[in-house]
Amino acid sequence: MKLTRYVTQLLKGNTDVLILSTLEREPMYGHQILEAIEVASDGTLSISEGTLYPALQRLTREGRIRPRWTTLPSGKERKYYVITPKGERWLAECRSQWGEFAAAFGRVARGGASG
Amino acid sequence: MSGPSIDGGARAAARRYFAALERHLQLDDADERDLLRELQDHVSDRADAFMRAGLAPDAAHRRAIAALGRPEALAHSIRQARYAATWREALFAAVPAELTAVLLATGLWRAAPLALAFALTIAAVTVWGLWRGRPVWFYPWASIAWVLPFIAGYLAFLVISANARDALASPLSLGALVASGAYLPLGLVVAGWALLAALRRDWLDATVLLTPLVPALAWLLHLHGAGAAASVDRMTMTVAFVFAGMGACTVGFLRADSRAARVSTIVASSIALVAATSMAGASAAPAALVARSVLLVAFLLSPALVTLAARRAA
Repeated sequence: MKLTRYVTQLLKGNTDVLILSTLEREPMYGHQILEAIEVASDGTLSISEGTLYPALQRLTREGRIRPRWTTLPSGKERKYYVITPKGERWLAECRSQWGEFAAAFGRVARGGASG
Repeated sequence: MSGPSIDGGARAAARRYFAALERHLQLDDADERDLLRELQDHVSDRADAFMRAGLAPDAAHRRAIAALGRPEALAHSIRQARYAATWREALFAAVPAELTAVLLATGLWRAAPLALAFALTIAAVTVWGLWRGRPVWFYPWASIAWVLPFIAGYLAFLVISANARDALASPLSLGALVASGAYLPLGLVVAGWALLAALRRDWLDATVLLTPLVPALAWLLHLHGAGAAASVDRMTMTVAFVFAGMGACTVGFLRADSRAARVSTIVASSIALVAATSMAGASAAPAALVARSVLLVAFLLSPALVTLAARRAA
């Protein structure tokens, strides 16, 4: 599915949630996070590097993730990000609010069809 | 990023990109190196992925670089995310300077329990900030905490002066004398250690740490000379005004998103606050104002010179 401007706007406000949801599964480095989001959304959602790296900086500053340099089996080093307990709590809260929002939005957006 | 099969053009493009990014990032050295290394790794991984998808190595690297966007835009977003404090953080950072101003302006600093509660609050918030990994509001709080050992040193000096004569006659006086004598070098060591720790992270942090020292020492000297008359006199009110101004400048400093803007804020506010000292009777002649401004700015920016000298020596 091609991203419309509307979906891009939705994505903008939810980048942090997408990143944290991805890191909740396992610690990852920048490139892995981009790929994981694309794969998990069947290519529908993709965030750019220009959005990802500032978001990683912000989330680190807010204490929601923690960076950690790790040596790969190949001998290369990569900077992995790990979600912190604070990040997990914030993510849980966002999910709960998102659920309520989506249900309410659905009721209104479906209009007469829901009646 | 420098795989064996990419041509000189792609390599030069990558070099140009990262040089431009470095120029615009303006982070402290360690953070900058860390981030550049991470982004270079990213380009390498992205290029590998493009090559697996069928692109030639040269095109894959060029496309991986292009995916980062304009270096100025990426650097600006990263600086914003990393340094620019929210209004809440900036206002919180201004609290200790404003509290100091209120204590001085109202004469409440003479109420020992209140002054002690103030010192303990400043110290506690500073320790909390240290535990939280030195967030953006940390150094303005730490700067006031950093002055406390100097004030305690002054009190120790008073205790020594008062007890030196009859120290041998009273064990209590002797104890106070020994404790105060031991405190003076200890206080200096603690203050020196904190300054070095700030300097190791970023000279601008050390500059922030130094900001309240000059008005605080000027006020202590005045207090020593004027005694109880210093309660709410013109000099004390001027120092209170300077601290209130420092609080306001702290907000501007933390909301600025580049180092150049932050350094400019420090220089401009120092000059403005030096001009304000003429309220306390200091000469308002242009030459005197310029001399005081130059001295203060040189003192505040001295951590930059130390860092520069250390880099050259290395």
